[in-house]
Amino acid sequence: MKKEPSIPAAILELIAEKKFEALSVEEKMLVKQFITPAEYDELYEADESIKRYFSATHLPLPPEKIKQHLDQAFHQKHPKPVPILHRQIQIWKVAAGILVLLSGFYLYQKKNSAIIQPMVSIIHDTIYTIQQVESVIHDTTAVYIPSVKNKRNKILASVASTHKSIPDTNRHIPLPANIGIRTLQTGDINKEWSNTGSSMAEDELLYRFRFAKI
Amino acid sequence: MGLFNRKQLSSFTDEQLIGEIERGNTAAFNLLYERYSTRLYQYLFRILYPDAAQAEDFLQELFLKVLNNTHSFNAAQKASTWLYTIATNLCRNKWRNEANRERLMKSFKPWEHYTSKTVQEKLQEQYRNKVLHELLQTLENEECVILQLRFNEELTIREIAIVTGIAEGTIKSRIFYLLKKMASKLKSNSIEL
Repeated sequence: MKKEPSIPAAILELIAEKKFEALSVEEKMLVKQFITPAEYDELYEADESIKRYFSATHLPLPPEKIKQHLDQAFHQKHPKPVPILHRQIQIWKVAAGILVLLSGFYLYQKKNSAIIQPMVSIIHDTIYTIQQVESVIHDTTAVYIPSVKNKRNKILASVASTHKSIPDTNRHIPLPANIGIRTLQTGDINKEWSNTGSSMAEDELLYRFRFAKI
Repeated sequence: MGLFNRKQLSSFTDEQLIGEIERGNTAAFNLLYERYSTRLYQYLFRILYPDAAQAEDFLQELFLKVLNNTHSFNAAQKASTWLYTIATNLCRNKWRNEANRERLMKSFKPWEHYTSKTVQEKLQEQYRNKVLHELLQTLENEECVILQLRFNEELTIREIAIVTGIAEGTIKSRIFYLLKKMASKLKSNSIEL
């Protein structure tokens, strides 16, 4: 196809839109610089003929299967968002799993810890504390602080002569006033326990303060 | 910020829709497909006529390219130009790969369908279409593409230049030549336009 002399794109756009008569004065002046009004109208008619030629045929529509394939491709690239409810359930599952793991880890740590925090049991008016400083107990000495009175205000345990003071830093529980500390051998502790029996739990305010490795 | 729904998207430009598709908005993709699938399919259909199956494949491939290349879309560019560029390039690749190229629109005979009413008008239309059909037989593939974009898709000279990658001056001269030739043929056969 041979090349034609340069003609402004604006004129070609005008040819696609309107006849020469319908052009404005400025547009007519522009057109006349390149082609005559008669030539312009011939080109306009030719343009219209080509458009009619293409529009004369009824063309088919795109088949539905194309859209279906594209939808599949779209969802592969952008997976559908999980519904909020479903997502929450999953979060709960994860949270529950984490909670179980943390609990297990905490218990494991506690069990294997060198220092076990004192456990306090309250049975009526009896407070009972145990602090263990070693995980493995070979032979122990218990230092316990018997209280002076039970709930009937009766002295149940006498203060022994083998008192031993405990540094304040080791006292995790404030000690009542007017108490003494004594150090016992393991056998003595067992004996004390067997002597007191269940009444000790009920009637004594006993601080069984610590076990220590000897 | 959540994804826009279909109602909100209806006021979006094509370029904005592509941005939404990039974010994974299905409704935006559906809307873009609705706006362009028929136009693009019929463009491909005419270019590749009579190979309708190829036109279907290319339409699907075109939208897959859109889906996978939204990140590379230049927001300053018109979406329609981008889509026609993809469509045209798909056809060009096909022509390159084919040993024996068939001339486009070889069997395209639209004069069997008349839009005119009177006998005189029908005859004139039939004649015009026949002349044009003969003229189209002499065109190369690239020229057919330009013709389609200009007269059927009604793109501007600048847009055609972007889509085809051909200089604006060349596009202009080809269109001008085609119009002159058509006008000359119609005039020489003494058919009143």
